[in-house]
Amino acid sequence: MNAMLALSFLRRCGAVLTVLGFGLVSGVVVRAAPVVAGFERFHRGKADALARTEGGLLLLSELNCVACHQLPGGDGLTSRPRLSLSEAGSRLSLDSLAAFIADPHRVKPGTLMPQVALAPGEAEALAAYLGSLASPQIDPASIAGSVESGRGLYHAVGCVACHAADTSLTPPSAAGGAAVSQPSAVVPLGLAAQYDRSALVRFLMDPLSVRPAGRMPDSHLTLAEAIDIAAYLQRASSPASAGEVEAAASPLIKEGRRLFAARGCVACHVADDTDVAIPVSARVVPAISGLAGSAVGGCLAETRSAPAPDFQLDAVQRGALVAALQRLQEDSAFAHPEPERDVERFLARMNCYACHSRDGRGGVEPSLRHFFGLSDSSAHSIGELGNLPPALDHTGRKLTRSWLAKLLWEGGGEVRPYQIARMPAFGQAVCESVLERWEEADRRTTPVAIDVSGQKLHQRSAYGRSLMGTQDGGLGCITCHGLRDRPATGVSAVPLDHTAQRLRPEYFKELLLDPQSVQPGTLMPPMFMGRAKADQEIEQIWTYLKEVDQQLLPEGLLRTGEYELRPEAVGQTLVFRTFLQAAGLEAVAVGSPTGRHAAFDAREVRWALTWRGRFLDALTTWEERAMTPAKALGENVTELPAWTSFMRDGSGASEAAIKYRYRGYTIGPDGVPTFRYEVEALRVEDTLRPDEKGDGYRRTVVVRGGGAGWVFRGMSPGSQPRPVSFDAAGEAVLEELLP
Amino acid sequence: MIHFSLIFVPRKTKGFAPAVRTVLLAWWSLLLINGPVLPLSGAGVEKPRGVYELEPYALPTESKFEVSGIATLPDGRAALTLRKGEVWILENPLEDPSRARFRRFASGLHEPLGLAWHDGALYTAQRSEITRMEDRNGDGVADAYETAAKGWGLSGNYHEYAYGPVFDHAGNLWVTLNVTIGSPAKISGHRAGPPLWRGWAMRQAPGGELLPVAAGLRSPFGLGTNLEGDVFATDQQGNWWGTCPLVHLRPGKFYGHGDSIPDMRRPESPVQDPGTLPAGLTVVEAAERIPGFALPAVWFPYVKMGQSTTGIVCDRTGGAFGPFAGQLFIGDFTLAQVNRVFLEKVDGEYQGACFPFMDRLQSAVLQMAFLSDGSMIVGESNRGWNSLGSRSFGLERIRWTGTTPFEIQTMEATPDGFRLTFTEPLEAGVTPEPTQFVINGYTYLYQQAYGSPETDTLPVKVEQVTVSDDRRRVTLRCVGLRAGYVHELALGALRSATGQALRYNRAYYTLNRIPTR
Repeated sequence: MNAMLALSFLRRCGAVLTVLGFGLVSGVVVRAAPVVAGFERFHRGKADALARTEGGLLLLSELNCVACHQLPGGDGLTSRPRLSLSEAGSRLSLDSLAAFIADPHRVKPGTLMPQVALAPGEAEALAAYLGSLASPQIDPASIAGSVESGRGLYHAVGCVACHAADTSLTPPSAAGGAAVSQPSAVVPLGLAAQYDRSALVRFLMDPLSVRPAGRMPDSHLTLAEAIDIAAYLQRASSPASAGEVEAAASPLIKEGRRLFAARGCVACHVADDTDVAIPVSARVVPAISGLAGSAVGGCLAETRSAPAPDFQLDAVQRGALVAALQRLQEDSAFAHPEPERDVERFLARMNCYACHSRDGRGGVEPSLRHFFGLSDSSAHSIGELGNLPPALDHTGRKLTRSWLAKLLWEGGGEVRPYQIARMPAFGQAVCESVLERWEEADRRTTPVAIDVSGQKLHQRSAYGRSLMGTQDGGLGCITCHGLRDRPATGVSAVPLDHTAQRLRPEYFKELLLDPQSVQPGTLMPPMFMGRAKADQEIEQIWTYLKEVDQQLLPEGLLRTGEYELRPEAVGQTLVFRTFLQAAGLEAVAVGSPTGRHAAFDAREVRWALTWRGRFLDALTTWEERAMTPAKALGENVTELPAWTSFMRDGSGASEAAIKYRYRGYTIGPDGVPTFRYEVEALRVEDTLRPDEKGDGYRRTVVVRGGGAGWVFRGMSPGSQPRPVSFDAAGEAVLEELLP
Repeated sequence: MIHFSLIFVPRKTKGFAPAVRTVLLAWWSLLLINGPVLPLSGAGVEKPRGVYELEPYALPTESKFEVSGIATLPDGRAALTLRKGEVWILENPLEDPSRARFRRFASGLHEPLGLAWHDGALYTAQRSEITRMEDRNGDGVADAYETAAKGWGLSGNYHEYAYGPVFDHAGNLWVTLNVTIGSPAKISGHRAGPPLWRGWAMRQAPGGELLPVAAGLRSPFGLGTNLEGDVFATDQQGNWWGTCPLVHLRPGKFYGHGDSIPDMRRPESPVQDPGTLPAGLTVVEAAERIPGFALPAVWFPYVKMGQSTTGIVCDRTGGAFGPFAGQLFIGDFTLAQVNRVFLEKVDGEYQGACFPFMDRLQSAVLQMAFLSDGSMIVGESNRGWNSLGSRSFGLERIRWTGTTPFEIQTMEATPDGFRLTFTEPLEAGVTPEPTQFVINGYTYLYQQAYGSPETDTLPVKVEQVTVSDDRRRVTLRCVGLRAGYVHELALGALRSATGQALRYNRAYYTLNRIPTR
């Protein structure tokens, strides 16, 4: 046990030293066993047989044993996608390449790459070949970047979940003076310090194109972020350049290309397209068998001898590998486990456990939790559900496959804007097959039934909207859950915009019915427990959320005046027809940028209303099925005299018999409408506009069509009827000023 | 595939006593148990892909594109009404819908539901009038909002929608009007009077007055003409409507909804007051007993062929939209789909069949129109009700890819059965068995209660199947045809000469009249 701990300690030191750029400079040669984070965290030091065999299986996968070996009973194990060296020459100098190929454990302690038995000069030949695979690079000096900014990003976006944190750095959220210790496993940063700067930036932005196995996932860094993190990773060295690219025809390159196949590099690496032509039979791949005895040879030998490659395995790792290989031979089901075990193995391989827990296993290690911060302080109220990546319990029945695809390879699946650490993408190639298994693993024995057809009478989205709001009868979901551009009114929890795309409806219902048992530690109150219409209400909310991007926001998120028509803001006259209090069902409201508004009643054919200040709210007209009449919002709301403007001979007696016909309106060059109507044979144009000389209104009425005996009665206070007299052109112009 | 099994409550049971709703639930469940609804495509038969393609338009964000009316302009652009009261022009309708360019043409309208281009201007139905919109100063924005027709009443009740207009070949303007459901708006400044002509279709001759034409409608959203210029309307399952119909609008006809009866006593009414409506009978019996009562040209069996019929558009593309030139396409709100209708005249009256056409649109289908290249654009909004689909509104285009689908092109009545014409010849050398043509006849109750179960269902025996020499026509000799009844046909796994399976294997023929020759 002591020996194991010592070894583990050494390994960590090596990794840290490499990280800090001292691995080579100090002249101390530190070799270390390969670091597989899941193995270190969950299997090393565990005495039980299951931990040993599972740990061994994890090593078989991560050391990519099946790339060379046929494993009896191992037909369920697949080789990792090969690392691409097609740009190796752009990344590293020939010297760096040769040194690493010759002795990877010296250059990168903890590396998974074995030392391959090579004859003198072969490492140089391989380096020459790989070095020839390059494309022109940007001048590293032009992408200097900020070390400080890079340090901040490195410790915030999630790099430290796998790689060493700077122990001299105390995150702001850590308790005062608390020392930051390293977690149980630190994945070495390897050759980052020796990389060409621009190649490192490109790698950080798109690691999956080089390492499609996804063990270095894509954290969706922007160019600026990648430049700064690269600067931080190379802070101890000046920006390196990969150096001159040798001519492709050189005999050394040719020899290197041959060796690349002949020495089995092609098992784990892909370089240029020539390797396609190399037959697999060229690899030296003895089957592993007869492990029953203690005489284990080859890669697993305690003292390795050529031609077996040297993985620098320690005794614990060798023991675990042997245990796993024996188990594979004895138990054909071992490589084909039940779904739950399959998911567990996936999470260990991809090191998801570094950030996420599932069924009590894994999660951010306590010493690292300080590095997981919040960008929105109102999310502190939800505790570690706020700053730590979510637990993966029930995920297979929680998230839709399409959302898991976004999370695992497409990007764009993050829904916690308050969380600084990012969910990186691991790539479709290595993740897709787990989705179905995950779904099986998390399936409920008693299914939850929810009808999401959206077709039942009760499922109208408007009902769901009202449940989410904070008005009387609402459940106030928006207190914690924002929508669209609106943050929650209170505590920040997950915004609900993508709920219907993201969550499976059955899980949505399961969660709402009993939040605490589905999501332990949640602050979400059990709103629906014991609620008589819970089933229907949950379906209503689902319908609303399904259409939410096009729906009216719930009460509480909707801002006052959201639908207010503001002619002063747009600088032009607005004409708006609706049901309007005091102007009737055929009201045409005219809003002026001057703040002097009016409404024409097209049914009674008269001006009905004037008011000042705010104009109208279009909410009920535009959004409500009920279409509640709008009302004038401003002040000085004045109902104009309820009479029409034309009489015969000044006698009101026959007024009701005079036939008016409304004909519509035309918009003048100034945007002001002129209403048109007929009074018997008269053709009238009636315009009310803000008076330019005063603060009231000027009404201009132009009458055509002739005829004697017509009297005009204005609407201004004290207005006296006056005869309509036509000029020579057959036109009468009547004006009045209204206050 | 739509999961019909989940759908068992009629959509508009609002406003009914719980007892009534329970009864409705019971019969609807029974219907499902006794007669499982056929899936849209043939069971076990793969639907050929790539015959029609559906593409959503990328929409401007400044207005909610609840598209309620579409008119294609003479220059090929498309004008759209939005329910919030605007008209927009789609400048490049034929280009990639993800790069659509829109421009606002008109605003400030009161819930326009329909749009027509006529005589150099756009016409739309607002709540209280038909408005003619024109850009007179040529700046691309409407500056004249003329009242082209008005004269119906409003109480301010939400349900008082007005639809249209459409113009027939004589240049007459048509508009249809919903009945009032529920109480009037609480509003001042309005002299309350009876809301006239609710549930009617109205017509205005060029230069004339808007006059009532036909009565008995409920919520006649769709209004359109066929190739001959005859005017049709769709209506909504609900009270007095057992399921959704397509009616041929004609002066003096009564289509069955009782709310329009009081206005029949007005002097302008061309419709005879039927007096007290009889109860406890089928629509077929009602048509025999009630004077002026007109049966729909086509019934759309509930759920099987939608739940809420909307816009009507006639395929005037001359074949650019596929093998259905001259036929009608009908939208459906609730199931977010487009159906197809073939009409023929028997004894001078329209009747015909409906077929599924396109499902899985993104939201409730309101209106369709054809673009100059023969593709169809579809305007959508589900505000106020529910619909299948995950969107609240939108605009989509349906394009024919040029592959001829294997479908029933027409279904005609014969004196002793039906004649089916297929879009492609049938598989050579195989004469389908009569058992591959399953026909059931049923009708609906005529009642004030909401909807109706399929009533008086009986099988029709197919005795003989004859295939024409060109193998495109199949004549069915049947026993048990009943005039007035819907005849639901389910086809077996027929194949075309090129090995295609049927795109849809169902048709519903409304056999108002059995031809005598």
